Amino acid sequence: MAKGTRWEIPTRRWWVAAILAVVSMFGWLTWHATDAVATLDRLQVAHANAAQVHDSILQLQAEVRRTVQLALATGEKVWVVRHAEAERGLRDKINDLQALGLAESRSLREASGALDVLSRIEERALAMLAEGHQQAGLDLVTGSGYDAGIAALHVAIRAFDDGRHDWLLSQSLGLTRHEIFSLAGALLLFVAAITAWMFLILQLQREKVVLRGEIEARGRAEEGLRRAQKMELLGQLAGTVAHDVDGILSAVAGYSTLARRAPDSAARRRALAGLDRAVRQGRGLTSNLLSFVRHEQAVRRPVELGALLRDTQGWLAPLLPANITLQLCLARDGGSWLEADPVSLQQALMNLALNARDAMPDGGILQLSLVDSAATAGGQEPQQPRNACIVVSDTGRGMDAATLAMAREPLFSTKPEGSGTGLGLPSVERVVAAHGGRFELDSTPGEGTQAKIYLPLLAGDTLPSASHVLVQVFSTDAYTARLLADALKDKGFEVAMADEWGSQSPGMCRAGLVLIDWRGEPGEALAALQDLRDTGVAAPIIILMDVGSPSSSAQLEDQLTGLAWAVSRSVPLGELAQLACRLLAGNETGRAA
Amino acid sequence: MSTRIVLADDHAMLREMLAEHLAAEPDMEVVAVVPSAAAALKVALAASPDLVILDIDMPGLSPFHVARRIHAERPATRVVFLSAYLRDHYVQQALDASAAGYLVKDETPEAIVQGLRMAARGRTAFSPAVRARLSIGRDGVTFSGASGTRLALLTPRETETLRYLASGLSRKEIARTMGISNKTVEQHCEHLMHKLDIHDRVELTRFAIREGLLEP
Repeated sequence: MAKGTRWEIPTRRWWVAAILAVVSMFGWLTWHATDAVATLDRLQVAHANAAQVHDSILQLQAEVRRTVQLALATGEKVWVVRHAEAERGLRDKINDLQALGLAESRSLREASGALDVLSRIEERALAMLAEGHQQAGLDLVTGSGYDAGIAALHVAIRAFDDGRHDWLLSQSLGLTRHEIFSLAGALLLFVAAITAWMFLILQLQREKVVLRGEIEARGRAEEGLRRAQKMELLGQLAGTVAHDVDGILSAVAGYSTLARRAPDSAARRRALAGLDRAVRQGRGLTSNLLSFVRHEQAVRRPVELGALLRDTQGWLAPLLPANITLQLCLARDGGSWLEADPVSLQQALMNLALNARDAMPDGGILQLSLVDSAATAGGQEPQQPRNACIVVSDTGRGMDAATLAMAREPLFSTKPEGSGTGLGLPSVERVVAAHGGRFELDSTPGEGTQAKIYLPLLAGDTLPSASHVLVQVFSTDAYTARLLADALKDKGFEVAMADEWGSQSPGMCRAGLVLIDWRGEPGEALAALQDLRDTGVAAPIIILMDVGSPSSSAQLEDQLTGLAWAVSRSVPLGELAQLACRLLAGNETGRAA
Repeated sequence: MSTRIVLADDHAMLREMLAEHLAAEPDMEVVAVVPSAAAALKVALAASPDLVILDIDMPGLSPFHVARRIHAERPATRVVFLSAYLRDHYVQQALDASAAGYLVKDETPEAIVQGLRMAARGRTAFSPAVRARLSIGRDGVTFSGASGTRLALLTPRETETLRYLASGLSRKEIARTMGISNKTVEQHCEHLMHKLDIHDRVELTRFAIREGLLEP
């Protein structure tokens, strides 16, 4: 986070600099354009004024000269008046220009002086005219003195004009200089903006490089962490395997000793059978390990918990010292089925039982119980699948609250150094979780410990006894018929097989259930079943057929309903056999009622 | 008359142990013990035994191929696979080869011998865990690795009835909706309840929701 902040600030600065430079450049150019427009307007007006002044002065000057000469030449009063007006006009114009305070006021003063000289000459000439000396007056206004005055006036006005022109020129040059400065300023700002952008891009690239470096470093760190976790997992796995193998080897050693010390052949056979079980358990363990390595699911199969506990009891017996009494308590025997991996489940039970054994160095009672979950957990939610609860309890020294809280932690053990790995309970927890169950541990110091494993049972967990019930199986395919028959025999049914369709089959008269593998058209099944019912066959009939196929209509299914139990071919044989059990149980219940 | 057996396994110790076990049975006679599927095929075609036991993990010729050849050329000879592993694709290939059985080595020798005996007598010799997951297709037997849902037991009409039942329709309303008689609806209900082993309407609704037939 600190690194991120360190990199964020310069980037933001460069962003601000670049944006400011661009904005300033546009501002500058806008101001310059506005200023140039105003200056140009001013210059245009000044030019027009100067031209007008120039023209009017020249006109007035010519008028002054012309009217005085005409007045003296004609002697008429009107020219005298007009001369006076022209002179006044010229003088007013010069005064007006002087009042403006222009830079060329010196020329105007000279013009005014020249005009004064001319006025004095004209006054003298007009006075002479008035006295009757017309020729003398005319000589005065056409003489060299008057011409010199006119020339002086002309020079002054010319000087004023030149000065004005120079001023206008300087104004134009000033405008051009402003333009140059503005453009130079804009260029500078443009360069500043480009520089800021370049720095920004460089900064971003640097950040990208740093970020990439950080990502790579994080990737390497994560990879390292994963490897470390894998190694840790591997270590735990190795520990768990060693723990489980150790348990199996203990059993092998125990049974070997029993076999060696067996007083008679029956005891030796029992010990050897135990040895065989231990070897098979070891094989199951390696098989599960291989499945784990190959990322396969351990094979699960229907397991009856009562049988599993009895098996575990057989395992445990040789591993317990004489001062420990092993008790098995089954709330219901033969009725708790679940989908499980029996090897890992039994390993979990063995872990718990061996922990219980180690907790009773002075002897006691080790009890394996299978109870209804409702009785233990204080009732179950009705929508939950039915659970069974296996309880492994001992009367050992128990655990205090602190030890109990730590008991499930991997590598935690209260056993003496070298005799406990601290992996037993985590392993149990993992196995139970993998079976969708729950593991609980209760303990009271001085009284003992209770480990409870809740496991979800199969929906139809209580399989009714099917012994002595005959099922008649019809199939035109011998291989299928054998498989169907064997699946039913697994449930305890007697099975008669026939490949010829008809009520004359030997087993038909006493069959409790008929199972038909129908391979004809679905429509023909109806008539065949009706024939069978007409011959007096009252047993439930399960017909395996392609229900739901295009050739099997809803109407056909409706009609079949009154005659048989239609079942799709895709149903596994295990489910089919269980359905057979349920149908017969229903029949028996009906008969009993 | 004893069952004549050819045993093929590349594991010498296992092969000898099993041969000894079989030889100890009064109704069994081991006619050949071979280390490969190819050798088993040769002996089977020459000696026409009653039973050929094939290990699956053997080098060389595929044991499934050998099983198909034996089934085609010596139909009376039955083939049983014996493997350390219960793998879906192995079981399926064994079924495709019309094998008389698939036994797992971690069963007790007694159970294996009993399975072989049953296979020799014309029955199948699949472990109960395998058999429970077989299903009978029109074109052959298939093995499903995962346990299926009980919903598969219902026909489409029963599934439809379940959906209506779970959504709160009375049986009369269901009959009217599906265009069938009340009696047929009763029969559909009875069948689906038995098949699902659920006899309570509330539980049926929960089941329907769980199986995605109905929105909760």
